[in-house]
Amino acid sequence: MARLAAHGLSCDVPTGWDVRIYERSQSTVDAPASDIPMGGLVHPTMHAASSSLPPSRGDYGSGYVERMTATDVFVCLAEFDHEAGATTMFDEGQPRTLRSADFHPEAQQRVIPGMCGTQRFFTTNGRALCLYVVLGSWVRRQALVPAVNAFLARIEIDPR
Amino acid sequence: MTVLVLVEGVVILLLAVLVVGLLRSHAEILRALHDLGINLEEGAPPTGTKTFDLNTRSGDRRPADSGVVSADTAVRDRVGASGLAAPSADPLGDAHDLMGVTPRGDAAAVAVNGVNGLTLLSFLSTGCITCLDFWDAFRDPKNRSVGGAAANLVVLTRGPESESPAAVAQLADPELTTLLSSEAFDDYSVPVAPYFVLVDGSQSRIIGEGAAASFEQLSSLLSKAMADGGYGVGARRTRRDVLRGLRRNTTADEALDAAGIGPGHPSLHEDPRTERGQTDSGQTDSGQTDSGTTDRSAGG
Repeated sequence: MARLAAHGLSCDVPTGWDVRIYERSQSTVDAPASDIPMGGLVHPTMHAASSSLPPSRGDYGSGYVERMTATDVFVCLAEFDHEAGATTMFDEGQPRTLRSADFHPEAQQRVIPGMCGTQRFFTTNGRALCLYVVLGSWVRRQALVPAVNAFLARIEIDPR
Repeated sequence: MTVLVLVEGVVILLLAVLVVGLLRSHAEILRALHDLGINLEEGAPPTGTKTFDLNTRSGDRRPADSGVVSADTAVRDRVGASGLAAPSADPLGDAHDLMGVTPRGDAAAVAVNGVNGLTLLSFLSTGCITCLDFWDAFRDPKNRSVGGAAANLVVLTRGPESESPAAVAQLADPELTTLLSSEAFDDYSVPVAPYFVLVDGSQSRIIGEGAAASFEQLSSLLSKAMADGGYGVGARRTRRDVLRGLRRNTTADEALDAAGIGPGHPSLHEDPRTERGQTDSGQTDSGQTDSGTTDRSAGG
C-alpha cells in the first residue's frame, strides 16, 4: 500500500481511495489592527475518500459529500491553531477507532438525508486537529465503519 | 444442347466466383483504409494520423496497420517523425494508481484501480507546442468528458524536478485534476507528451493508449475506439466488427468469463452426447438436490 505524506501528515492510501493533503494559500494582507493574516493562519488538511475527489472542495468536504453513494466514506483531518488545543473542546490523543454508535445524521456539517457523520477534536504531538468522518449511508454504518478504522489506524501526525 | 447448357452453367459459375472475389477484395481495401484512419463513408469525421486505438497492443493487429511499434523498441525510439509517441506492441499492461504533487505543491493520491468507470490519463508537458491545444481544450468543462460522460480525466506532467509547478499551474485549469508525477510517466511507459492512456478501473487494466496531434483528433479517435471496443453509450457492433467477427468473439469470451468458464474448464471437455447435468444419484452438476437445497460441497 502506497504512503502519502505532506505538511507533517501521512497515511496509507487504500486501493480505490483518493487522498489529498493540502494547505490553502495564506493571505498576504493582515487583518485590520492585527499581525494575523486576513482569514487567519492556514493549516494543513487531509481529505480521503473511497471514490474520486473533485478538484474543488470545501475544507469539510463540500463538493464531494453531496456526490457520495451509499458505499462511500469520507475522512477529513483539519488542523487548527495549536493554541486552540488548550480549550476543553479538544481531547488528548489521536482517535484510531470509531464505533458505528459514534455516527449520527445530525453530526454532519450540512445534513444530507440518509447519510451520517461524526466529529472529534483532539491534540497530539503539540498539534490541534479535528477529525470529521462522513458515511454515505446511516443504515449501512456498521459495514462502513471498519473501512474508516482501517484508514485511521495508518494516519501519522508529525510533531509541530 | 446439353453441352451448351453445361458450358453456360460453368461460365455463370466462373462469373459468380469472380464477382465474389471482387466484392471480397473491395471489402479488404475498405477495411485496410479504415485501419489506416481513412473512412470513406458519408458523414465520416475528418481523418488524421491514427495513433490511438483501443487494444492496439493486444497483438491482434500488425504494427504497420495500427500505428504501433514493435515490442522491443526502446521508449525513446517510440517517437515518430511527427513528434508523436506511438504505443508499443507489448500486451496492454495493468493500471497503476497515481501519486504526485499538485501544481500548488500539495500531495495527492488518485485512485485508478478499483474505481467504477473509465479514467483518461492525459500526459502533457508545459514545453511542447502540441500540448498547448490540449491544455486549452481542457479549460472547457465539456471537453473534460472526452473519455466518456462518466470518465474521470486526470492530467499528468513530469515531476517538479522536470517541470515548473508554476508553469503547470498557469496552464492547468484549477477545476482540473492535475498531478506532477514522473513515476506515472514511468509506470505507464510514456515516451513523450502528449500521450493518452484509457484505463478501465473496474478491471484495473489499460484498455487503450496512444497519441493525438490535436484535441479534435483525440476526441474523434477515442469515440470511435470506444464504440469499437464496446464501451460507452451507444456502443454496438459495427459493420466492420461483424465482418471481422471481433466483437462477436469478445462477447462470447465475456459471457463465458461471467459464467466462470475459462480456458481448461472441465465443462469444455465434456462429451456433448452425455445427458447434461444429471448424475446417477439424481443430483445435478450444480449441486442442486431434488429437495431444492444446495450442497456446496458437491460443486466442483
